[in-house]
Amino acid sequence: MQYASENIIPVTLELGGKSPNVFFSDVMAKDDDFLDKALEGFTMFALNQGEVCTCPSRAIIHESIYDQFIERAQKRVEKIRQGNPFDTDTMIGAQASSEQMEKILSYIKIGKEEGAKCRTGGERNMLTGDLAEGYYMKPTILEGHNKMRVFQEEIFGPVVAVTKFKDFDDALALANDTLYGLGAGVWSRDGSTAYRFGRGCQAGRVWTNCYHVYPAHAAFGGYKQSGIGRETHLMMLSHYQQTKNLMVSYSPKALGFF
Amino acid sequence: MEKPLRVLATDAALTLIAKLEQTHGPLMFHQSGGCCDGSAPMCYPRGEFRVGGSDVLLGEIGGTPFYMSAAQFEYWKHTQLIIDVVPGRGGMFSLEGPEGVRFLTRSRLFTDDEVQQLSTEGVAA
Repeated sequence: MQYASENIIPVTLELGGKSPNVFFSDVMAKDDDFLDKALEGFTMFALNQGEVCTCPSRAIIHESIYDQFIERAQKRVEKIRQGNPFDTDTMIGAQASSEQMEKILSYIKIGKEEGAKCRTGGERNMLTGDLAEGYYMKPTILEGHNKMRVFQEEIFGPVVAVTKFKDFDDALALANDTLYGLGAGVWSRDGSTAYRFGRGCQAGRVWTNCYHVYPAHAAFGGYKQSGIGRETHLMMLSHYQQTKNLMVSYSPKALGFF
Repeated sequence: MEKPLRVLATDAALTLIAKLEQTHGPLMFHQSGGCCDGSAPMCYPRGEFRVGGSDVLLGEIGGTPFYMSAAQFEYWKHTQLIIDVVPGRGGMFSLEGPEGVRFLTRSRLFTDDEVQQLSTEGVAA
């Protein structure tokens, strides 16, 4: 942006995020397909090893269902299969580089120092054979509060920071207490709750009872420090085009000023 | 008790800084936030990256000023940064890229005493 400004070139920016995934208590009202989907939705933090700008890296769960939900979510996370990317059973692979892996490990360390509890994972995954030197990280759940650095910074790995909320306003406050605003997920069987939350959440893409879906012509972009502009939608043409106004007069007479 | 430093560097980092300075002249660091290369300290020739009213100067490492965005600093200020070097491909914009290494920020929580000491000083912008 700095370089573009030197030549007055407009930019769109996508700068990442710390997207919250919010689970209202009614998700556990029944043990059905929807709950199963919500548990998968929680586990989406591990998609692409967490190396996605919209990674749902914070999970905010209603306190009344917290214990049961997190227990089931943890089991789901522990079932993630990690291995050779050519194996069709593999769900996630290795991190992109050793320095990415080092950075993730360094975040887990500071998370623990700040008092976060590591429920699962939290270390490198040493695989065997020719994968032995791969930069594999175990999917990790860290439990803490929203002011911790692991809740505020983009770790860019398969790490989710989880915390509880008391009520609707608390959920919204926690979700919005971040420098970023790219993605967010809201899970509720009550359409009105989901809608009101989505409207109040300062994020450009609010996945409602889903996550990580990117259909064509759904506007995508961030609020706050997540960037400027919207892509994958007709409106992006306005970023790349100029509006020209041709101002034509058909009057043969002067205006009378001079 | 000496006032704690907000940012330090390991010997490996200091050596790398000196080496980069030989090639590029005076340097600067900006702690990046956000995705991909995010959360990594970025090294630029001094003046190349515009810092301003929304950045804070944490200190100097190897004679090189180290900055961070003020908004991000609010969440980091209770931790000390230790700049280290690890092998890697290097960030796309950071000067150490071609060297096959990457600067990495490690952190340590300040003790209560240190927090107390630091709260009595302002941090330069």
